[in-house]
Amino acid sequence: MSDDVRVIVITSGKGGVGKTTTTANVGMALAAQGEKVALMDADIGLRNLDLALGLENRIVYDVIDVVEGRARLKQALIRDKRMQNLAMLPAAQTRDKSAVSATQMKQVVEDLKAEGFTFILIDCPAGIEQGFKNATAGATEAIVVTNPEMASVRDADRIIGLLEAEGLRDPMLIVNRLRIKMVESQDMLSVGDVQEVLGNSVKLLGVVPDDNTIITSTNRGEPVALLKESIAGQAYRNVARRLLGEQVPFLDLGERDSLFGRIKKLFTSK
Amino acid sequence: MSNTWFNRLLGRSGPTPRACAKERLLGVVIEDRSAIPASVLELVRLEIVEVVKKYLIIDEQAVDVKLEKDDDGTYALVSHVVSRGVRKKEGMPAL
Repeated sequence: MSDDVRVIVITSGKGGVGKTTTTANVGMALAAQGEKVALMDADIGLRNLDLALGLENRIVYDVIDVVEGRARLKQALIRDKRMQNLAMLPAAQTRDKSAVSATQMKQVVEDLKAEGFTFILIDCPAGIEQGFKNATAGATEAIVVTNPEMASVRDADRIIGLLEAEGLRDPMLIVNRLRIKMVESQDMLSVGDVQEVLGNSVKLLGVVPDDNTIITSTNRGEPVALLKESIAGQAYRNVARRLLGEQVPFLDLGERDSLFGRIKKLFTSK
Repeated sequence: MSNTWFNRLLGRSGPTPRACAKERLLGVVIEDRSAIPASVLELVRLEIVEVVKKYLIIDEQAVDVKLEKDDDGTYALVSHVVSRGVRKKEGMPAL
């Protein structure tokens, strides 16, 4: 039974591309689809998932308390009041990334499975050091978040290589903060460009447009996935449906090439 | 901004920021993955120039060496050399 549980690490290499926002919103959207979702903040020492979910005032115990036996997992898990089947396991804020080992991380994941969750999403710290290795240790799938911007795509490529080395093959890709107008005016990398750079092993899971409602809703502690009218929220809801196996068309991505580019594509596409 | 757009329409301003980003990224990513540093490629390039110019008249600055990924996942070393003709016999080493 617990083998059906999806354990997905959300990672990026580069910081600030939207891992935590993605974790919060994909989690929320999955829960809205009726899944039992646990979100684990693996960014020990730099806790932020609590803010993205608006749960920061309800933290009593954290993952270190669980690992070191001061609290039971059930006590540390915070149930979301808006979405009853969503829970968060907070990171510790006072320790650093070496405070939890890969083995302990795997054990926490096993214990979460035993609690009956159907999805466990792990919010990975930035970087490629021990914190990354710990966060990926218990996962069986990976989502790589990138922005259509050079440093972020380069780091995503590095992370994909490292994930493969950890046995996490064929990661899923979310392109976050796409500015469709800039793609159309040939000023920004398109989703297709990003895919071309990262190669065929990566499967596109979602495209999230740059959207002011991300900022306003995060400020309020309400993930955009809950806002019906938000386009980014819609993008996250689509990600959740794709994770559940549905074929959902992507939003209009401004992929249009120049006329010459389109003609060239006609002749070069296989 | 509309000026930029107008220039682009006339093909005056060179590759777009989008095309630049993609081209540069493809370059660094292949270097990262292959673990062959750019400095090594530059040494290879210089030596290719030395070899080829014994036989052919070339523009040394325009000799280009880069890595390309083949469909089977291996890396191909690709060099682009424009020849302006064969060197005269007396300049050539004995065959």
